[in-house]
Amino acid sequence: MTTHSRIQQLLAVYRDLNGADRHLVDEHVKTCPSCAAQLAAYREMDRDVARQPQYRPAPRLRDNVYAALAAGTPQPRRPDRFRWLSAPAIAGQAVALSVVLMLLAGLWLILRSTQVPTIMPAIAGPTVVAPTAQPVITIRLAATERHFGDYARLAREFEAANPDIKVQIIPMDTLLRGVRGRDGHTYRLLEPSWPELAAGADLIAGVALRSEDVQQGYVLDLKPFIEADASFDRADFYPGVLEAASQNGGLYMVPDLLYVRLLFFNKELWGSLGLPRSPGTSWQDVVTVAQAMAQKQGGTVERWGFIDLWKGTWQMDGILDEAGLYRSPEDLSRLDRPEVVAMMERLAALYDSGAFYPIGPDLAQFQTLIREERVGMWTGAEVGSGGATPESSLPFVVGVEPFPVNTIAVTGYVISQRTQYAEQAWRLLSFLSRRSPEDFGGNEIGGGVPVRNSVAERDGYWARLSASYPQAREAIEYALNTHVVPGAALNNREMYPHILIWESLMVARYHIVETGRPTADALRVEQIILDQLLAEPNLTPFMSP
Amino acid sequence: MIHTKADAVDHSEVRDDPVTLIAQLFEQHHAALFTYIYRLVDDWELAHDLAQETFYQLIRTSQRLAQVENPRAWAYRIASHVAFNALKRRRRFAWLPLSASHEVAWEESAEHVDRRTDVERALARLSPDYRAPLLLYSYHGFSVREVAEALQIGESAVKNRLYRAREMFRQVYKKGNEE
Repeated sequence: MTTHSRIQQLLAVYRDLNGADRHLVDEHVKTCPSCAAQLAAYREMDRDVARQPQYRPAPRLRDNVYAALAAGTPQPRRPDRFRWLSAPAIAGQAVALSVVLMLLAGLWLILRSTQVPTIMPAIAGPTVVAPTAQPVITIRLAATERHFGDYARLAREFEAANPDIKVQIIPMDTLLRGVRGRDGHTYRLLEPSWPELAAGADLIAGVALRSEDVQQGYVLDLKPFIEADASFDRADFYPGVLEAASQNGGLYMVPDLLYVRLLFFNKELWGSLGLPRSPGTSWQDVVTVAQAMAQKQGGTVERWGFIDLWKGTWQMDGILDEAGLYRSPEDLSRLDRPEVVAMMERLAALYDSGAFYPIGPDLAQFQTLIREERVGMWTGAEVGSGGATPESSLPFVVGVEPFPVNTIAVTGYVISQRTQYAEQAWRLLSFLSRRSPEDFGGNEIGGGVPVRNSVAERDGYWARLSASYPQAREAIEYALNTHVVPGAALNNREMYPHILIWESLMVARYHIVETGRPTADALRVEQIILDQLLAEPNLTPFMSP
Repeated sequence: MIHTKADAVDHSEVRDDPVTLIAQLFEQHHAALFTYIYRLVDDWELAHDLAQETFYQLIRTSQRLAQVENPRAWAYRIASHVAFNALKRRRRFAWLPLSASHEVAWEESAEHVDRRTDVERALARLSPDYRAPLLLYSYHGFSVREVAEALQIGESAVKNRLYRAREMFRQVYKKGNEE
């Protein structure tokens, strides 16, 4: 290779050259105009290529990868519909802001859709029905896709014992409300579009119900069925749970799961502060203890008070509740109101003092902060086994208390008022309620407590819980005894338009805390965006029956 | 300063936690990896599948990932492997100009858009064997050694391909501008 051709090759990687090669090229181009021109052209080429845009893949890439990560093994490719935006073990930084909204009302989940389904697939049990003189009745069971496999299996079992009934499982996901978020994606709220849901299904599993839905007459009173069904054992339910789904003397839902928000803390640290602690910690207690736990030297926080792995949603809940702004969407109808500005300034001050850890850490940071005792209190009850650091791995004793704001939520089975086969739907409900899906409560501590003793036993729920956190059972039982009051299961807030307001607050919070934008300015900007979003006719059921 | 789309990030803190490491790789590099794959295969849907497969392979080989020196280069190595395999499966290539209709991660002036069309077209006309090293070096800011790692070829082969890629690019680009 001649020097000239060798130099031409070196020009192609000029950026990487050093030592003798760099010297050789530099000397050469001083006297060789063609090589100097070539080097200039390559540099321009690099600039042009580097200026090309970076493309943004569709959200399904993230959903699928995180689903595979959470499962530990890659999932097979699936069609693009009905993907759960579950918060996987790697919550923290990994989950987009929108996912945070999952816990908006304590329980509501959000699904994101990239296309609107146009057909309602029937996933019916393929059981051969024994010849019978009776006509076979089909009961449409609406369930979320996550539990399709379980329900299909249970349906076959039910059909074998009930040859006069055939079960057709339909995806509840198609009957949920859709809302267009500020990121341009359409989210499906696990807030049924009740007229469609009541018309499209006889029995609905795993749904949250509101007092207003009962008043609107979408669901049947189940009390007469319970009283007539000798196999339905009320004593199998956690005390008070059935009453929690009652209203005006009727019982409208047979609960299956209770969700309990739990607050975890370094018990020794709390004890050393000389602050009182008793079951029933209030939000004010949380703030006071967080402030006492925080240690700030100069501009550096050495120990934080309270860290919220849910990207600050629980902190936001608490501060909204404290400001009395969490009662209805009307409370937050104007984000630039002085009350809202004052609330956000208080929140920013709590971040600044170290009482609250700002924004969400990633999971590794979260666990390190806890382990190294650089934070005193944390959430984590609902992040799954990956997020809840087992107590045995920590060098101190962990205390557990119910989180004081939006402490519980309940899901269960309801029967549509519009069913023509109420008796058959009840038989299926009665059967499913005793069996329940296998992966019911999962590994989430407090994130899905079976309300039937028989189901909890079969699932080994309490034993698993106590193995990770000896004190969690007491906290959950305290929450159940305190918060499970008549009507509590129907006490959910409507998600729309609250979800858009919430999202705006979370974005404003980011700007205030992270970018230092003045509070009033940040809220004013968010109000403008919010007005635009609310003006869009974006509240649509995904399909009509 | 060298322009890079995704500056190398220190992943050493989470080295022994493969789930967090992969999540971190995803958060920091998935758009760049997807862009790389898309520019190689020139098929929007296929690029999604291949990007997904890349991360699935990272998950499957997470034990090994914990030991590699440069996780980002390792991710690109898998992406390159996955993309070249897909290209091999294709009977013929369609080196067509890339569509500009997709969502772009940042706003650009009209002048840039015009320029981009020419550059994208020139890139798309290179065969993937030359396009890949040029993209890694010029767009993703990789060093020659990292390009060699990602493409599983020697450093001298990288230099050679980069030189030829640059010359081909120049010709196509020049021709395109003269048209």
